[in-house]
Amino acid sequence: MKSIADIMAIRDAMQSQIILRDNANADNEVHVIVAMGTCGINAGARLVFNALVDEVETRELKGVRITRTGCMGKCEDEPMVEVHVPGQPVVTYAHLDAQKAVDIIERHIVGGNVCVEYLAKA
Amino acid sequence: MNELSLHILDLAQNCIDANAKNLQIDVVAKGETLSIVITDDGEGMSDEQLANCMDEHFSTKGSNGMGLALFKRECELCGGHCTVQSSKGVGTRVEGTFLKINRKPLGDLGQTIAPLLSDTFDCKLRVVVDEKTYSFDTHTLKEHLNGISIQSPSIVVAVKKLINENIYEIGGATL
Repeated sequence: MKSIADIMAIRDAMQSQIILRDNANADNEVHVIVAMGTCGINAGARLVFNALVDEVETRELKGVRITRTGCMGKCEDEPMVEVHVPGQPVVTYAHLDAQKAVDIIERHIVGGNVCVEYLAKA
Repeated sequence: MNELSLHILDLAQNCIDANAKNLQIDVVAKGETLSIVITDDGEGMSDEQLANCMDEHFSTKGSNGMGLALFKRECELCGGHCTVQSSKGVGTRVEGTFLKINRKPLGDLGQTIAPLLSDTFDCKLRVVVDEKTYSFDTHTLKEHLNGISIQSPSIVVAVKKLINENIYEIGGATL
């Protein structure tokens, strides 16, 4: 049985970075929220959530937080995600899948360009 | 939903909506049957809510009210059943049983727990495959994280891997 020892190694590696980041300003965090109500889950939100987390981890991005929430109220447009970048309007994406989630990390979070073709219709 | 673990994630959302601070997810596979039990210490339901909670479109939060109804249907479609116990102010326990022969696969529990790692509530997972048991507990993990968020992507990815490797080890990969 594997223990949590591997995670402790990751913790140790993270600790110095955390101090730097906290000093820099926690308010600068990018926050990505995945809708995970019944509608979202049924449409593939779990894959989207995990693709986002995996991509942030693979790219070793700092200051990006991925969290879940309940239904966003537009069940027919799931899976949906909100991207909160400090100082910018909230961007809502719809009809996502794992590949589109990776695109959002690459082009929006890293590149700073909103993925226009995935935007939720108002 | 093509995996039972997606129902687990869906029912966990109900626990979170009920402001639970502790979620316990038990998956017990013995012989031909699989049972999934989700227990929380959230607000609980009134007798009237409890009587209606498995009906389609019954909701106290303005949603479509499909989660528990879908889970119940899934249980009954494979010869099992679903029971809900709840007390106002104490919490809720949902149990579903499934007969192995025609049920959907359990699916990826690592990916299911990932969105349930939270700084604001704790989650325990217990997987039993015949005589072998694996338990994971966010409360214990947090005590070792020295203030690092359990929601940090590096931690989430490592937890997913840990859970799936240990489930594989106790023979739960093909549930």
